[in-house]
Amino acid sequence: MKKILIVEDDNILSRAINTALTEEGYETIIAIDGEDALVKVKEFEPDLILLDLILPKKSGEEVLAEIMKDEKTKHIPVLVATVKSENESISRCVELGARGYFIKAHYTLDEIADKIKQILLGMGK
Amino acid sequence: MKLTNKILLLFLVISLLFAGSGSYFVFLNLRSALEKEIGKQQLQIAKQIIEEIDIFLYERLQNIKTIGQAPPIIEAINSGDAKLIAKAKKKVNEFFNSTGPWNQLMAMDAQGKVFLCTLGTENEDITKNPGVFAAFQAAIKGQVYYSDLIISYETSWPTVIFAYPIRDVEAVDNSVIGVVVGELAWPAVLEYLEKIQEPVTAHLFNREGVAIGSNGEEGREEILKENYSDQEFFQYSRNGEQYSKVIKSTEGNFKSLVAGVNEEGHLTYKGNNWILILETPVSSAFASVTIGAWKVGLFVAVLGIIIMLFLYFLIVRIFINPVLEISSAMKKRSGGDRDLRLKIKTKDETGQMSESFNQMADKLNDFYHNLEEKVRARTEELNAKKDILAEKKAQNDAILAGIGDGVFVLDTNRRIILFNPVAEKISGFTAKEAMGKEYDKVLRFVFEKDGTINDVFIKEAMIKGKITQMANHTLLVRKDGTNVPVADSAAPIKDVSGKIFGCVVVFRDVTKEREIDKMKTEFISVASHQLRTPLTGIKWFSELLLKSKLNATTKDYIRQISISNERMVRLVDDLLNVSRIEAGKKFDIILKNTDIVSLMKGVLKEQMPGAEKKHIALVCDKDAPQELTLTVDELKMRQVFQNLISNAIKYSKDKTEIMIGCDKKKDSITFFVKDEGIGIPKHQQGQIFNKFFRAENALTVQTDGTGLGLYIVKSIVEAHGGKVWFESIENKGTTFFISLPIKLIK
Repeated sequence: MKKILIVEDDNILSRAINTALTEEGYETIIAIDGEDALVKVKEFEPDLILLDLILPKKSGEEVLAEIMKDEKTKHIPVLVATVKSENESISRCVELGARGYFIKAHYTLDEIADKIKQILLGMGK
Repeated sequence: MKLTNKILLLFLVISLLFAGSGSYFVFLNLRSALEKEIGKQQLQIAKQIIEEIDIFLYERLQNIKTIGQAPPIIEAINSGDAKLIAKAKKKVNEFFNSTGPWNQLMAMDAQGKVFLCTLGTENEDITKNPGVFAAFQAAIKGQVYYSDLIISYETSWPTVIFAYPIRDVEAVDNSVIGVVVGELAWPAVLEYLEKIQEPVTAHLFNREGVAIGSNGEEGREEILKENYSDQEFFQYSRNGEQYSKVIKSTEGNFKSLVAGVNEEGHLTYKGNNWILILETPVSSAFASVTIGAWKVGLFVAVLGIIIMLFLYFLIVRIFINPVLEISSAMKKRSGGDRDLRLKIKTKDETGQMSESFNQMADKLNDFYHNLEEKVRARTEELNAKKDILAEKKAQNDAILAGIGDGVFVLDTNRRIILFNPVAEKISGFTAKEAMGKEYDKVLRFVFEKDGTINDVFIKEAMIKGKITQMANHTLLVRKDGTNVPVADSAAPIKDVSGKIFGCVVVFRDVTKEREIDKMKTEFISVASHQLRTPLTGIKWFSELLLKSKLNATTKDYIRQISISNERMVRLVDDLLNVSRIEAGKKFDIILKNTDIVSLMKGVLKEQMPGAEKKHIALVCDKDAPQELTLTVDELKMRQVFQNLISNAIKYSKDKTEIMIGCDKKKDSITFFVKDEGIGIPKHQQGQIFNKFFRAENALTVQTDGTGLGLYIVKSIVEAHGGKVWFESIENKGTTFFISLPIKLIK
């Protein structure tokens, strides 16, 4: 069973996405801020991280950068899911190593789940 | 020259001409009369003298005759006795002394032998003496002989030889037995000529025109040496005329009065025909006449002048004075004496002229009064207008001063001719500093992004005559060097013929607007982000709910929630886009090579369900290329097509057609979206790309819509270096066009 770390400070959203991914058969864990996320990455060793950018304590971009810096975690695919739609934000995340970028409200849960599936399948190959 | 002087001069000239010609006429008449008189006298004298000479010569001939008939001589020849010869000789000597004056007297016998001679040259061979021989030969035949003037053989003096035959009175036939010859001493004849006094000259000529004597010493030298036959006088003399004429002088190149006579009298039968000429030089002959003529001329001249002066004063009095009076009156009139009138003294032309002058003066006065009236009226009018103008100017100045924006006006040379107080306040320059200078020497408008001079808007207004807006983000460099953001517009000033003669620029400080704008943009940005989170919650839970087991009605309700939510999501997207455009950050587009045709077709497909609901045929132009790769921001361009097509559907009537397509050119591609919808009202077409603008007929069809779609489309297309425009007829349909430059990332 693939493990997914959901980094999301809004508990309504985290609950929705958690529901959807659990139904898809993934083992999930939720981090509610940036620091929490970094701790849980190490503890949990997820197969994929769904990362919000606007987070308390540490921004999603910082989290992304640290994950990518760490030899132990940099192989983990990170999908960004955020309300930020600015191009600079998108390009910065892509540069840092994000594998996907979702603007929340533009994508359905299904679409996100499809993308996660694709990535994880790709990894399996 | 004054008229009177002219007339005076004319009269003087005329009188002098009269005097001159009068005296000349008198002179000519006098001279002619005198010529006749003097000529007559002169001719008389000439006749007298030549007669005297003739008588003198005749007497000499008689002397010779007496000698030839003297018995002692006849006896001496007949006898040949020496005693008798001596006696005869004595007798001849007596004759020589008593008659004379002779050069010599001689007697010869029939053989020509000279047997007595007063000079003592007896036995001379007379054949050697041609004059004496000729005389002998003539006389020996019984003729009485006298020669022309010749030169004496013995004495070499001029002389006339007389010869007379000596006859034997006792013989029956009175036969010629000898000849007596006398050589006249010529000076005796010349003494007759000497009676003529200077300046009259007397000339004696023989019939050949040879000079044989004249008065004066010089005259003697030319005797028998000069020939005057070619002279004018000789022509008359040869014809035997007696005449008195003014002709060319014999002696010099001057005219003289000549009186000529032929010798006619005792000796003429033989035809000597000597000619006596008396001549008086005209100058001396008529000296008295000339003086007389001058006197007469002077008298006539003086008389003429007096008469003319009299006439002059008369004319001046009668004709000129009235004219002068009128002239002086006119001068005074033109000098301003309006009340001057002339007295009319006569009924002639000058009287009429005076009358005309008076009438003219009256009329002029009337005219002046009218003119003054008019001038006063016009002046009042002008003053009134001036007051109005001044008032208007004051009003205009007050308006300009009161305008809350900075205003300055440029002439065609781009010099500042007006600078209002707000302009002073914004720029930091006083009107005094700015006026008359070329505007760019004072006001520097620069682009915010690179600090380069922005003079495009003024140039366009001045040259193209368009009202132009200053590009966004323009700064004005103030006098103190600080920058102030400004917004403005420049408008050409045209005269009635449409010619641009300046430009008015209105500008304002937009610092505060900028701040407000910035705050607004930030607010929208923050608000939008904050909105997205709950919207996502609604979206996702709706999705989850729709997957759960619910009855159809509930699911439908949830679907409605979801649709509303989607609309809300788009609204937030639009707001965010706008706020980013407003923030001055141009759409930062991520360019990559994209197949724009398939992108377009993809959007078409997405929009299909919406179109089908209204039974709208959404078709792609069959002429559109199958594939075309352009360097664009894929997401943004997708948004453009989405906006345009969804608008087309939204504002189309049911069962119509929407066609999309593209037309590729060499370096650009033009897309179009053509609908048969409600169209855009003509009067609102200019605002259609403004943000939050919605056409009035759009509001009646579809109540939702932010009025941001086209604004974003325009921004995106322009960020790609392209253009967007449309053609629309209300109730007929609209076609939107987008043209993009063809560029690829290599």
